[in-house]
Parts: sequence; structure tokens; C-alpha cells
Amino acid sequence: MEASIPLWWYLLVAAALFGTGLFGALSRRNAVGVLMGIELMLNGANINAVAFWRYIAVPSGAGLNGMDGQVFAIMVIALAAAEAAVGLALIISIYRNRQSVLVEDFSTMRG
Amino acid sequence: MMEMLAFGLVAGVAVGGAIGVVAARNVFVSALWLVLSFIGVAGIYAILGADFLAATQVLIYVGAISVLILFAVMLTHHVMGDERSNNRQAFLAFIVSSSVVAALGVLAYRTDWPIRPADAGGSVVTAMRGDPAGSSAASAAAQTGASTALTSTVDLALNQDSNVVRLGQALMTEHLLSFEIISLVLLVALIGAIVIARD
Amino acid sequence: MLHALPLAESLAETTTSLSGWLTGLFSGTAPEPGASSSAAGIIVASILKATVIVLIVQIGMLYATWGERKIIGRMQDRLGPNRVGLFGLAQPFADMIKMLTKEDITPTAAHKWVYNLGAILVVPPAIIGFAVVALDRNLIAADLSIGALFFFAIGSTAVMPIFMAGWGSRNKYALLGAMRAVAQVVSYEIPQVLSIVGVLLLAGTLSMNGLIHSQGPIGDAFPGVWFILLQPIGFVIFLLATTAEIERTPFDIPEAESEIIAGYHTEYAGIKFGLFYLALYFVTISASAVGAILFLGGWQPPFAFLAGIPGWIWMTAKTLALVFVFMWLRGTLPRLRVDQLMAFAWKVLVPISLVNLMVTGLLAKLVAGRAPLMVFGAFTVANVAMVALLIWLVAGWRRFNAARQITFERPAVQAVGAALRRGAA
Repeated sequence: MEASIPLWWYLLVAAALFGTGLFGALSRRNAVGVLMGIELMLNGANINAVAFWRYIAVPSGAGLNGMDGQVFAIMVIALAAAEAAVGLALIISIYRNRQSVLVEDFSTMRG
Repeated sequence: MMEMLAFGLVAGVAVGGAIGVVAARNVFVSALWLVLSFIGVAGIYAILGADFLAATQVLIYVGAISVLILFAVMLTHHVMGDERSNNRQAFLAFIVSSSVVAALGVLAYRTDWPIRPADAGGSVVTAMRGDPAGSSAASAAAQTGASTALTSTVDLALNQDSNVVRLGQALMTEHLLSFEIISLVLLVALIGAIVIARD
Repeated sequence: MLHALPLAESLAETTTSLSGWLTGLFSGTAPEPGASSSAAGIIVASILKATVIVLIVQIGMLYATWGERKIIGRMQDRLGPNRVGLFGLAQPFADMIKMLTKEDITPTAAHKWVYNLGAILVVPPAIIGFAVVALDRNLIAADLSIGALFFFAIGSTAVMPIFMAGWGSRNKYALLGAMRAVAQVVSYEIPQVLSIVGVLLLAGTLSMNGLIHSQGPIGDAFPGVWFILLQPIGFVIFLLATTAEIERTPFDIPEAESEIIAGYHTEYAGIKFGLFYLALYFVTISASAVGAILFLGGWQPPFAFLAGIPGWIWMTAKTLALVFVFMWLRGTLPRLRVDQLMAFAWKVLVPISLVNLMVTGLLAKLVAGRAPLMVFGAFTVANVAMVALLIWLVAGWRRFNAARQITFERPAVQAVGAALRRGAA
């Protein structure tokens, strides 16, 4: 199997996920929907990290075993979990106080 | 060719799921599309040869984060209702995000990436095999020694050359500090989420 | 011996990585030199493997239902099914025909897509896990390098169809059952995975065959004894957490018929209900098989002189023994309350499995590479100490509780119900 997938295909998919997530985060009225958009953006970034890990030459320094891309992706997954937990807790807390999850209702700080 | 087909399948699932997330009118349904997109991303990791990451993606994103999101939808939303899902700036957001995608796509295509030469021509599978000698010895043993009962250490070699081991070593050596910090972040987030959601 | 059969040979080719498996599935990259290298060959081999898995599991499932009814019947001083066929052996087929011929209902209020997909998608996670179950040395569909993790990752996706069923039905009992189920499954996933980390730590591999090799008389891998002997606490936690994970009694609160009708599958009838039933037995069998692999040595015989008996007989016997334990639990224990259930996971199982994991990590460092007897001795001392500590703590807790007025917190179900009412209003 000689034909292999060019790197930019992965990058394009990652960009598509990132862009779709961006659109979701910017356009959703529901706060949970905004959070979902952010998760999509993180996934797009993660695909980039892993694709670069797979394709790009790593300078072989002492003690480096060239797993940086995957380590990066794992860190992002862990952070995404933390972010989802805190974000959703915030949304539930706001919902208790204001009976709404629509972001345009969270505007009491506006001058 | 078939590898590209596999890639097309998982990429289609990932991107199609993502489009479903932003297109669905019901928040619950869009969360289900999100799950599909996560599974597609796991497939992309698998094709890239990041086994552990693919399984982690399914375990964390599908098994945990999506569950949290669905729970939040159920606890906060008018459970069964549809509603107008996009705000007034949706059109502007569409222009911005599609130009971001276009810019990133052109950049990704035009840039001359320093591709690692060893993997450029070969398939993922052959590159995954760390030690060709051990691998061929093991497969020879697997062929001849399948019926003889007491040979075992050789076919164990089949499983030793995965990058799970290397990933574990990387996390425990070069990236130890970030590993510890992320643990702390998770602990703080856990406590914080409980405190915020309780009162 | 099954080794000699052509079936076993066709299943013998193993791939080491998920990417090898996936790309091999599509690309025709030969996983091993000597294996059939054409794309068609790989696809045929994959379909063959999948068919064999599904067939074995299907038959196992049919007779697991029969066996469960017989065993529970005996425990309750009844005969169990005995009308259709000899000893009621044709009963599963009669049930199947009954399921298939019942009316296929979709409630008018239901969200059609989500409702129907929920029933369909409940089966795949239950079957895919079998891909990494080793029935014999070479009788494994895909010996992935991340086998154990793959199994639990696939298992964790099983909550999605539950959510879809509960929400898609548009029935408050279904929704309540789904939320209970998901809260339970997610909570018990943590002790379940923590309990096997000790095993993975000792074996130093995630591959199913690697795990089996490291615990039997066949082969010289460390530590060379069944992990149930080194990790008895881990085994008990695994058993309890798995019972909750697959929603069997005493943890079948999501479908507690006396409280919320039938939980998330209240609105399903006919074959769609049958799919939920199917998935329940599939996961019972697959969880038992993985328990047998992780803790009971898989296809390894208990002693080297019994190596003449084929491995798949050992594996089947161990799996069935664990399936029996699950049925035994169902026949013995009453159902827990929802708040007890969550407290049990978070306040009992998680701390115990964390302590167990820490002790295992320390000991694994100390005894690495030693002889099996030495390893066993060290772990026995540690396990006895841990159990003694646990008993002391429980006794102290009981004294403490007896001394004060016991007050129960508001059950979680009320909190969820209140939130739901607020949401629906």
C-alpha cells in the first residue's frame, strides 16, 4: 500500500471542525450549544497536534522520544474534560438563578 | 486507495457530525451529532496510528464529556421543546468561520511541511512496527508454533512494539511536570464543579 | 484441539495496533507476512471473524437467558422453563419468535429518529467489545495493543443509546430511568477501570493475549499467577462495578419495575424491546469473558500439567462461571436505593480501589521480576492487611452510626425529579 494520505487532508478536516465549532460557539443562543462548539474547536486542534506528530520530523534530541503531539492531545482532552465539568456546572448554577440557558439573558453585567 | 477510503469515511463522520451539531434545531439532537463527530475524530486518530489516543477519545469524549453535556441539556432545557437556536449574529458568524476554514485550508495546502521522510511513502502499519526482526520472528512462531502448546514468550513480542509504552514513558519523564499540573487542574475542576453546582 | 481446525487458522492472524486493524480492514495491508494479502482476502477474513463472533455470542446469549431462568427458578424453588423441548431447551427460540411477531410500536409523541436509533444502537457497543476477547491463544479477532482499554472505551459508549431511548420516548419514566442509568453507569465506570489498573500495572501490557500470557503456567512472563490471587480486592470491586455497569440486580435501579415501570425501555415493544434484552445478555457475557481474561487467566489452564485440555474449554468454563456469579447475585440480593447506589460507588468503591491501586503500585515496584511464589506471598500479606483495615473501618463506622440518630439525605432521585419539573415547567 504505497499511496498514503497527504498531511494537508488532515489539516483540512481539522480546519473544518474548528470552523464549524467556531460558528457554533458564535451563533448558538443556548449556552450548552456554545460549549459544544468549543469542544468541536478543541477536537480540531487535537487532530492537528496528532497529525503533526505523525508526519513532521522531530529533532532527535537527547531523551526526547517524539511523543509530544500525542502528549499534547492528551493534555487537551484532560483540559476539555475539566472545562466541560466547570462550564456545565456554571450553566446549571445560572439556570437555577435565572431559569434560562440562553446566553442573551446573561447580560446583567452589561452597562 | 483503501486507506484513503477509510480516511474519507471517518473524516466524513467527523465533519458531518460537526455540521449536524450546528445545524440541528434541538439541543439534545445536536449533542447526539456531537457524539458522532467525536467518534469520527477517534477514527482519525486510529488512522494516524495513535491507538491509545483513539481509545481515550472514545472513553473521555463519548463516555464522559458528552454525557455531561446531555445531562446539562436535560437538567436545564425545556426537555422536549424545539426553539429558535441561532442568535442574530449567525450570518456574520458564518462568514467569519467559513473564511477561517478557507484561510486555514489554503495555508495547509500551500505550506511546504517538513514531512518525516520515513513515513512519507510507507503505510501506517509498517511504520508502526518498531522492530522488524522481532516482528517477523514472532509471526514465524505464530505460524509454526500455533499448535505446540508451550511456546509463549515469542508471540508476546507481537504486542511490545506499540506506542502506548512510549507514550507512558513520555508522560512520566519529559512531560512529568505538565502531567502533574494537569492532574491538579482536574482535581481543582472537580471540586470547583461540585461547589458551583451545589449552591 | 481447535488449533488444528481451519477456522482457528483463519482467525490466527493478529494485528498489533488499532490502526493496523482499521487500515487492514480497508487497505489490504498484510498484517503478517504469510497472511492473505489481497484487500478482498482481508475483508473476507474480517467478515468471517465478525460472523463467528456474532454467532458464538448469539448462541451464548440464547442459552444464557435459558440458564438464568433455570438457575433463578431453582434458587426460588421453582422448575423454570420446562415445556418447550427437552428441559425447556427450545424456550429461547419460542421467546424469539414471540418477540419477532409482536406489534412494532412507535409512540406518536416520540422523536422518531432518536427513539428508533436508540433501540438499534444499543446492540453494537455490546458486540464490538468481543473483538478483543481471546477465546484461545490464536482465537481472537483483533489482539490490539490497547485491548483492555478498547474494551472499556467501547463499553463506555453504551450510555448513549440509553440516553437516546429515554429522551426519544418522551415519557417521564423513560427519561427518569435514562438519567438514573447514565448516572449509575458513569459513576461505576470509575471503580471498574481503577480496579483493573492494578492488573494492567502488574502485567505491563494492555493487550488481551499479553495479559493472559502474564498470568499462567504456560510461558514465563511476570508474574505467572492468576491475578485474582494478587488482586482479590480488585476482583471483587470489578465484579461489583461490572454488575452495576451492566445494570443487573442488585444494581438494576434504572429499570426498577416497581418504581419507574421499566425505566428507559418502557416505551419499547416487540423486537425493539428484544434488542435491549439482547444487549443485556451480550454485555453480561462479554464482561464475564473480560473478567475471566483479566483475573482468571483466560485460556490458561490452572496448572501446567492440565495444558492438554484446549484453551477454549478453560476460557468458556471461566466465562460461564462468572456468568453464573452474576445470576447468583441476582437470585440472592435485593435491589439498592438510588442514593445508596451512588454513595456506594463514590464513598466505598472509589476510595478502596484507589488504596488498592497505590499499594499495588508500590508492591509491583518492589517485587518486579521475582518468582511467582514470592510475588504471591507479598501480595497476600498486603491484601490481608488491607482487608483487616477495611473491616476495622467498617466496624468503627457502624459503632459511630449506632451511637447517633441516622438521618438520610434527600435521595438523589428527588433532586433530579425536582430539576426535571422545573425544566418542564
